[in-house]
Amino acid sequence: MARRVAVVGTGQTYFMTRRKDASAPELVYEATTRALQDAELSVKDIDSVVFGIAPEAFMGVNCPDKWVSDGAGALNKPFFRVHTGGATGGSAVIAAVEQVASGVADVVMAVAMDRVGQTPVAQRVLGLIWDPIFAMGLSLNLITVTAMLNARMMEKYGYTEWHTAKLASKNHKNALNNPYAHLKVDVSVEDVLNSPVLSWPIKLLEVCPSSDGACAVIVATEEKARKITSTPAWVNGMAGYTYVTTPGNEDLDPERYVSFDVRKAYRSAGIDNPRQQIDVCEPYMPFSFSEIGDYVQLGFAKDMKEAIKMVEDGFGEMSGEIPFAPSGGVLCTNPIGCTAMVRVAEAAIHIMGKGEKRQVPGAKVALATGRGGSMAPASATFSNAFILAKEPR
Amino acid sequence: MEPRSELIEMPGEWNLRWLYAAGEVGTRYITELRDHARIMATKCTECDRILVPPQTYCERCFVSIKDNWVELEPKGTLEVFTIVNTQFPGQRKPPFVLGYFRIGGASANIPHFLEGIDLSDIDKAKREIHVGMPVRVVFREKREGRLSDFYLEPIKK
Repeated sequence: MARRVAVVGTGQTYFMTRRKDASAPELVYEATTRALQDAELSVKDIDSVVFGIAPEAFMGVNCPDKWVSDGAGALNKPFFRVHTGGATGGSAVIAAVEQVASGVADVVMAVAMDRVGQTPVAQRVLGLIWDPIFAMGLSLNLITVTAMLNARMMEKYGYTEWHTAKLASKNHKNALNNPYAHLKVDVSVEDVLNSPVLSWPIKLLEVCPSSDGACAVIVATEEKARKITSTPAWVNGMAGYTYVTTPGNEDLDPERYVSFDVRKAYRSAGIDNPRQQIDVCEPYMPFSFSEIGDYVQLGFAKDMKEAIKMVEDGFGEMSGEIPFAPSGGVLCTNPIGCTAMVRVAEAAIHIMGKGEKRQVPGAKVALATGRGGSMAPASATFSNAFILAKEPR
Repeated sequence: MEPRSELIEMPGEWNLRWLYAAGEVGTRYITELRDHARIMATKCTECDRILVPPQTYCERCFVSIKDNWVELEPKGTLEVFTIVNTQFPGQRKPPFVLGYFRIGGASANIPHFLEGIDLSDIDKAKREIHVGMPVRVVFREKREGRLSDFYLEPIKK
């Protein structure tokens, strides 16, 4: 990167199905003011603002960018919106970091907001993201498509519904330690297994909720970052990636699929042995089974056989070798266009030592990822990855 | 304490209509389904991948392939599946089987319904369905130029 960049502050709203107490601009204002407080900055210190939100139909207001820009602190400043589906929040951070790295700005605020819970028919909105000629009308939605990927992986690699239920229970328990999490329920593996089947093999307690809320992340140059905070989270690696595939294609199987964005982020951060060098992960895992494949795709397991054993051994638990989603993750909080930014914010929180009950003690290197897409004909998937660290590279 | 129960929510509804342009390639795909009961694909002139639904360009080689059509043999394999057990708003009444299918040696999978499976007992059904099972394309008698002009069913041994 041209100039070193660090995260110097983060802010999140409380997430829930319907935040009746706040309008959309008010949610944005809540997140941006929390981030400014966290960094001990005023809005005058911000040079430029990037905003992310997913499909407008969740919220039911078109062109929300013009509605929320003042609450984002963008008055008299450059402002633009980015959108890459579920990866939106990560893409917004990339856009902010690139402004600082390139020298066009010194301090940039990225903010993302979504109100998935404002419509009672969120899956109907997601039923309208497909190619209207080649895929619409086939009852595709993100739960049914992901269920198919899970069923294929179960058959091919031999893990069971117990394995995914174990991961779901772990994430739900983690969310109890996160004041901002949406779903906070203490559920056992048996509770998950006994919850209603939505789309076999996926059950209710293995699926993310529809959340309302916002998140903001402030990034700054090295010179500013060192003045702003004694605990900056350095963006040592960052990459975005676009691919086109359909479920069932071999390139999606974890042992075949290369997370180019993750590998690129590792390379620039100098990570050649992630299992030794990374202390905590906040990956984009909207369904419980996502974590098994991630162990391979993120470079922690050599193959799926090892990944399944790692689930059994509690590799990603808070007491395990590398905690996965100490926040409870996407499984417990999913304000779609905002979700990937929460991953970056949570990773930064661990590096800055501000995680309170969910803090991974002494975390020096954290991984965050984002992913958005529908894996349908004529449709792309977007992903991004970040390595945040206590020491700059 | 704030009187949270009194917070106002205004009801709203989007009632919109569209006319989605299928383009020349999409038009031919749909027309072939309707008039000739056959599934047509386009083949990349550089990498030889057979793309279905047909694509105007190969996204990897970035060349136009819109005039290089091939007909797919109407059978193939089930590559992924789920048994949908919930009513999602605006979607098909459960239970039903949704899958992605590799048809006629194509290089991509198409989503569709797998019919002809007894779903009265889901535990039994999920043991009957498996990745790689052979399927055939069945065209409906009355076709309207929609994806629903055909469906998939298992090829019984």
